[in-house]
Amino acid sequence: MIACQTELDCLYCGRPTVHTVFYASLYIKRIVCHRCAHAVEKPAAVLLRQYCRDLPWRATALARRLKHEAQADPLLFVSSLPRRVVNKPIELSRELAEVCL
Amino acid sequence: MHKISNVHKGETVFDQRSAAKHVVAIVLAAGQGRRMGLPINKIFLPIHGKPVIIYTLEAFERCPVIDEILLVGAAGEEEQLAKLAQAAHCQKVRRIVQGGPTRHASEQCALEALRSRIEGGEIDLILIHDGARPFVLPERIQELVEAARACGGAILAMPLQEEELIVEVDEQQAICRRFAGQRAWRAQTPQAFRAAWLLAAYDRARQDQFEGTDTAASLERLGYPVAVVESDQSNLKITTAYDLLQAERLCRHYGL
Repeated sequence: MIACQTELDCLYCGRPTVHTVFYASLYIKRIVCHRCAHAVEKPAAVLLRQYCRDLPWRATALARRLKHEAQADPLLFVSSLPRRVVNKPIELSRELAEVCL
Repeated sequence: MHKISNVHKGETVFDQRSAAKHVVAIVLAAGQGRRMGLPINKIFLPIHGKPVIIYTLEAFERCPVIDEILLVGAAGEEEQLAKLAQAAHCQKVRRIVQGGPTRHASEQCALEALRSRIEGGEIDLILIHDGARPFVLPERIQELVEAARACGGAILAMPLQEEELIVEVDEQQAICRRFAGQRAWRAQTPQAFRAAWLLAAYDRARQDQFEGTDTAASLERLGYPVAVVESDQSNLKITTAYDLLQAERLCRHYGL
């Protein structure tokens, strides 16, 4: 899971404090204030719905990207396929685990 | 209309835009993050995989009345901003300057960078915008530019909700003035002004050691007129955790 630290205004501390923003896949999962530990968390069901809703769009974008790559450099495209065929399901299952857990 | 020659192709083209003076958008992206020694300035936080600042720049890229964008970044973040803008194909970003310790100081840095062009009459209007307001609509920017051309200065703002009330209190924390919904407006950015007025107002503010909470304050104190163009809640500024979540929802809503 990706985590970024930044400064945001905390409504509970009443001033700008350091927060950690946790991402699951492309989506914000949880934001925690370092000072008061107040956390804003997205329910797993909402996150999963968001993830599933965007999957068709991501699949279309991937197909478009693959087509573009195949046209630009067919040899490089073909040579990258075995690695991608193995990696993509792993990547998707990792994303799904981040979203659901 | 200016006649310009294309020496490479031996053609002569007429560029209508070059006849009009420039409209420059200054996007303030200096933030606080790096100054506090934090790894990420909030304008670099990704929303759906894309940094906040790129959404902001894309709004100005899509707006035809904006000729050029000047980005103001925090010390040490200029290169990162340049790379992001280039990767996102933001062609209107011509220059990145280092900001100051406050918003007002960052505005002053940007105006100094444009001083010779303003004094030379090359720049007509300047818009100042917070980098952390990623969802300003290009149509709204266009309306703002039209209002600023007519009035000299204009800002985006939204009226308070009917049930909302703002009060001014004195030293004893007693209410001395009330501003009810529809009479009181929340100021937003972008804020647009005649470039010469803006430069004069900031020169004067420097002399008087005045620092306004927003750009318009420096002009209002000198009696320059500032019009209001109605905006809405979607032009939110990301300041709290809840704003970040709302930004994610808006991103989906606008299909960005």
